[in-house]
Amino acid sequence: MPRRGRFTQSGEIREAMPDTFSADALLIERSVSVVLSFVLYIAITFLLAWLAQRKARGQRFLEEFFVAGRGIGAWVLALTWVATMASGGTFIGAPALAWQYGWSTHIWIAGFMVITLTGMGILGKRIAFLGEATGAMTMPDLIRDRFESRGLGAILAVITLLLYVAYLVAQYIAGARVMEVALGMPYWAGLLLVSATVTIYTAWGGFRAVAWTDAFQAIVMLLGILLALGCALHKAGGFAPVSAYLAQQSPELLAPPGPDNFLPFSQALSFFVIWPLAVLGQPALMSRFLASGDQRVISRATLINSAYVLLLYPSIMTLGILGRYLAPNIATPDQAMPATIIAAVPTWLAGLVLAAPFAAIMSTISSFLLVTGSAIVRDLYHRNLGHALTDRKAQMLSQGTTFLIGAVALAIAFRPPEYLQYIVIFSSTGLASTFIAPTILAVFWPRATRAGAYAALFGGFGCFLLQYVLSGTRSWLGLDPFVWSLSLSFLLGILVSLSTAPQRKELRVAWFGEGEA
Amino acid sequence: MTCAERLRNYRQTRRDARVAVAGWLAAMAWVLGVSWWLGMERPTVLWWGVPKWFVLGVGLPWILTFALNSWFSWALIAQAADATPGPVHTERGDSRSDA
Repeated sequence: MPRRGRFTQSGEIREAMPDTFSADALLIERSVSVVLSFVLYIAITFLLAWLAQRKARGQRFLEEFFVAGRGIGAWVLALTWVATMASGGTFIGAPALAWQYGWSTHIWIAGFMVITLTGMGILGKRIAFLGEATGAMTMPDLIRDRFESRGLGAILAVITLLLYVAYLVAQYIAGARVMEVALGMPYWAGLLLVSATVTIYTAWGGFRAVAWTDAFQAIVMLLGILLALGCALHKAGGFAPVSAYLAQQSPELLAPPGPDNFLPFSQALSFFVIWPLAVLGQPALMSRFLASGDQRVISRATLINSAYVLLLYPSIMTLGILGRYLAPNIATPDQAMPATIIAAVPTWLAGLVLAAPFAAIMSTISSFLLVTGSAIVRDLYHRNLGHALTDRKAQMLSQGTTFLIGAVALAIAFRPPEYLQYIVIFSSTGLASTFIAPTILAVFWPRATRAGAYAALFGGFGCFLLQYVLSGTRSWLGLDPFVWSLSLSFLLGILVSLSTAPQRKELRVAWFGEGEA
Repeated sequence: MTCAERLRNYRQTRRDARVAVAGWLAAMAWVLGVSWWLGMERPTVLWWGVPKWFVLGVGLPWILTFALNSWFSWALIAQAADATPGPVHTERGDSRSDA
């Protein structure tokens, strides 16, 4: 098993393995409050979707469904961005790592301190502006128009579609597992509930419903984690007894690289490259900027987001560390988060806290559903095949596609194929290796050409795939394959662009202005 | 959207991107450098029950990054309020020719 099994951005690999999160292993007192919290949570989600759907009436369907009429505000943008980024793995896989490897996991996650700066600072405002200027509704849309290439748009749309469906399956499985633990539901019932809830509100309200429910879910996530952290610290009596306990178990739990050489310097360096840069290659995250036509919104969202990330991620890792002290006898590290919550949080609060990972999963599923839907309807059907779309037809296709993708992911989640976990592992940084260089070259370099974009795309994807197959997650010099494939992708993109004829002048002027074209 | 607006946005976002990259590299150098340097101490020194390398190598830069990020964002918001017109609504989507 490649080590990345514990390292994916969303930790989906842990969720893709049905046998790792057994509800039976945890004896949970399922009180009325837990059930009520979940019922209330789902009711609020549907209420928000209904409100969003009402607000969308009378708007042009396609633009409303995929980018909410480019009118979302700073708070919603910031919260939907972070809710999409944080998935089930953030709440299950990351604390599991902290439980297992101790304080050094804070270095593993430290790249998140600049994730807002890189994610929003590098591409956010530029994409928002270009979306407004060109009418792009998806990231493949933007690349297609910049290089005047249907082929590039189609390839990016197909890659997004295939890899995101794998993500979706993993998130469905994780959601069902959380329902198993929280409500004592059988796996199949949890799967149906998660799938039906999220597919209905996504198809019903489109991007606006997804963004509003994401914002609500982000609040639930943060509240849940902060409450759990406060309760766990209180229960443990502060950090001193916890660190003393860890030192007694193994001094390596207190310092890098951690037990079993968990995080050698080369891997720490890799993760400080992966976390801040991989977000730039996630269509689900970048497409959020297309929904905001005003750059001032992005600046405000940057401010909100950096505060949110500061509060959320260190708290999650710290909770895992506290869990080692409060819940030392768990069957697998994946149970660290729920077991810590159960050990530390009063029963009447457990419902809200357990809803946090569920919220993370739901928000990620809805965003991925929307992006995969846009890849089919907007990118392939409308832009590539050139079919005209009336509002009525767009609505039928978009909603039908959302249900179809939801149903396909659900069907796979009932009996996930053995190789699913490898696709999920690959897709987390493989997608980033494919998207980042073409996107950055497209929006920031007037000299970038279509051939250069193809070279960057295939170079990044091919290099990552080759390293992944040959050496797993530790490539040359112990670095992650992502570092090398991204470097090669940029190098090829630049060299091939310089050796081919520039794109036509009018296009460059339209994208960069007269002085730079 | 005028040609001058496109040029201004390009130059401004390019400058912002350079600041973001510089911030990322500085944070990486601090976190990896300080954490590894102090993290090599044995036995691990604890401050208030928390490893010293974590306080100085991860906690402090995280808070500083947040502070600098906030300052940077405020500056951009103020700058945008002075210089940028509101959202420009143009004909978009289906109206342009599909490549």
